Amino acid sequence: MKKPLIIGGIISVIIAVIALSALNLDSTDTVMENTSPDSFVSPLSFSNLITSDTPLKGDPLAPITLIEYGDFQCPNCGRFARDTSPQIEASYVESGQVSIAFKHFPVVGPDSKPAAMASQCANDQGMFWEFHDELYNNQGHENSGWANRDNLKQIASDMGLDQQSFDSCLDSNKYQSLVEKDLSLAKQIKFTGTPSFLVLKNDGSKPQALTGAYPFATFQKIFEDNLN
Amino acid sequence: MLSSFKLVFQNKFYIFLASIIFTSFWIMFSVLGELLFFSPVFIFYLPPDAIFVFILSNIISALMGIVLSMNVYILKNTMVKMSKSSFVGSTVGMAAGGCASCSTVGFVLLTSFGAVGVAASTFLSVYQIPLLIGSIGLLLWSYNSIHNKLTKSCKLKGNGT
Repeated sequence: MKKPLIIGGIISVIIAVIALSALNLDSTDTVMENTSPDSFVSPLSFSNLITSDTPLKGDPLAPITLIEYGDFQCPNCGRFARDTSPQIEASYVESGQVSIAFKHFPVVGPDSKPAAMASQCANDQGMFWEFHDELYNNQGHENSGWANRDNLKQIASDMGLDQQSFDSCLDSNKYQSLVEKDLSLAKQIKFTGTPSFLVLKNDGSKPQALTGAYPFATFQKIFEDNLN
Repeated sequence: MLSSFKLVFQNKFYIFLASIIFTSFWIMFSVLGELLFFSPVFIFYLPPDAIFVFILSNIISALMGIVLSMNVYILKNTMVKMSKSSFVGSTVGMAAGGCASCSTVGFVLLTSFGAVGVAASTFLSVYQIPLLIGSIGLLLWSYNSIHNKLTKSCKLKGNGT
């Protein structure tokens, strides 16, 4: 009696594996609906997403803006930062075709929000991307304490940031509301993991949403399709 | 150790079954590890930081194919019970391979189960490599027990009288 049940169990596991993979695929590539009326500012418009506090690399008037929603504790965000992002910068950002912006999606653990706020404090001193690279190049295990407030202050100090100003910014939680706003929007977009991306065209067309640490070839395809 | 392997896989059905199981788990590990993407471009991408985990995942997928197929052979052809360690090994392997916090599964854990989800996801992420190695150990142990079931004679209790 038990044998059919066990064989059925094995088949169920295989089906579950395939279904799980398919579920992951479904969430990776969608075109967002911009449902707001034209008279209002769309939540996914460039002007709404890219504010004076949003770290932006490249020409702000570039035809395409790639917005990353990342967490400094997320290993796949680290992979994107170390491996894929430099290739995008060399091929598209330096030529003015694409700009890259960073927004916060701190979900991995308790140290994710302080790390996000600390990066904005570094941004106050014009050092966001240097701080971003420093964190991703020296990333520790998730929630192991490497991104706690004391370590973040030490990293900032080692990088030569103004210590008093940085510490005051971090201790006062100056950017807590900005980080919460980014997180809220990421949830509203229904991103299902980090890193996630919005590919925004400056012609106002629907942005494309992606979830996953895609390799350069994927972004290359998306950029070429949009540029052409 | 190879005699039981030859015994099972001389039948092409079990080669086919093992291939299906291997491919299913290979795809699952690769998709959850963000190495294999189907859309918008079909691409397989192996960054340097993922090589070791990828090798371990391949070993687990291959062992799963072999061990689960041999378990099916046992169920269909003998009266002995199935090896439980293969299920434990495959479950541990799947959990460790697919639950890095950034992947969809890890995200579900983090966003659905609060502090418990964070703890579970952190544990699976921090101990991913030891768990994968442990899973390989369990699957090898399972293979050994299947081999014994298929090749060794029953022993009589006591002095054999």
